[in-house]
Amino acid sequence: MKYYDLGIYSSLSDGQDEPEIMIEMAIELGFAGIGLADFTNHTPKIIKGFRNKYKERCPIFTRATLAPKTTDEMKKWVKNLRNQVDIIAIKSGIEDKTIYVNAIVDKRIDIISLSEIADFESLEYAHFKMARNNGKLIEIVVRNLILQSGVQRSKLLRQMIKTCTQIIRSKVPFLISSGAQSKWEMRAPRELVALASLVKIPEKRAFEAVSTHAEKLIQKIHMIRDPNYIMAGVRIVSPTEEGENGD
Amino acid sequence: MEIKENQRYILFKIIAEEEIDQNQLIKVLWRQLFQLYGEFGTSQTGLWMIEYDKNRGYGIIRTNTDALPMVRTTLAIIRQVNGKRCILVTLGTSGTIKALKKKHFQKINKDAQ
Repeated sequence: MKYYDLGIYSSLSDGQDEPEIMIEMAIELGFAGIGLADFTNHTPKIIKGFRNKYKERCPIFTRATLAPKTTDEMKKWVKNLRNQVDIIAIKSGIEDKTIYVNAIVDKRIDIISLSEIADFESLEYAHFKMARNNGKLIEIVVRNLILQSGVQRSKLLRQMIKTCTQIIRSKVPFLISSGAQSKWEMRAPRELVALASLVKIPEKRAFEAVSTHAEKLIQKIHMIRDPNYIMAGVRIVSPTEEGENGD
Repeated sequence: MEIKENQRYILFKIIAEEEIDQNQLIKVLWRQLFQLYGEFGTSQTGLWMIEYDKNRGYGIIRTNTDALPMVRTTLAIIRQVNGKRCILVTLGTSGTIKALKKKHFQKINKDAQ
């Protein structure tokens, strides 16, 4: 089984460590691929260089995590970024649920990310059901579980358990990611699964979250990267391929 | 008649900034267990450090079978020992030390070479 952590932040975005340090740690921890934010300030040449360097050992997927304050802001950012990064994730953290609702129905957005207590409070069962119907992934970030302690962690745990129960009930596919901003905040796949047990996620579902669901998103990324891809369900078929299908 | 509890052994690897002392690691392990699961929860674990090689960064912990998920979660949540940042990675679990070593130590020795 291959494992992926699609929410890692290096010094290119909010993180402290250089991308190489994060990637090397991911390899040591046993990940088959990672999602690294945020490459938007870098030229495609640098991104290509990174990808080629780690192509065999640990494929890199670029990601942008957006925290828009309004729906219009979200739409504007998504429009600009969609062709530049592999994964677009939305986190809001404010009480305005319309941003999440619009993100769920927007086909260009891949992930709804939940990390702070406010994020977990914002969404309910109906939103998760809607997310499932719209093919969205929910991301549960465990970083704050590791960093916080005492009453703060207790409050976060309570809210996370409540939300994760609804996620499980709604059967929406979800990811578990570390949200690491330094290499010391990264966790191995089995440790991510162990942390998920704290918020009452069954082991089987947690393993799916770090492998199967992440793999499906990666397949989608590969499909979009394919030069023959035009849009969802539409791709250019070569004459030989057409012939084979015809036989 | 005394009923013997079923026990599991956990082999873990420690990735740290600097070498970490066994006593300090045990202290942090107990403290984190206590913070997460309280007095009652901690009493169920029967935690015991069997082996620890600080040079190579490997160790074996014994725990009750029922408390295995609790201990694994605690290992995952530890982020520093005595101010030294670290990551604890569970390599495997087994019912006997012999089986655990047989299964994983060959690979560890190979990596060390």
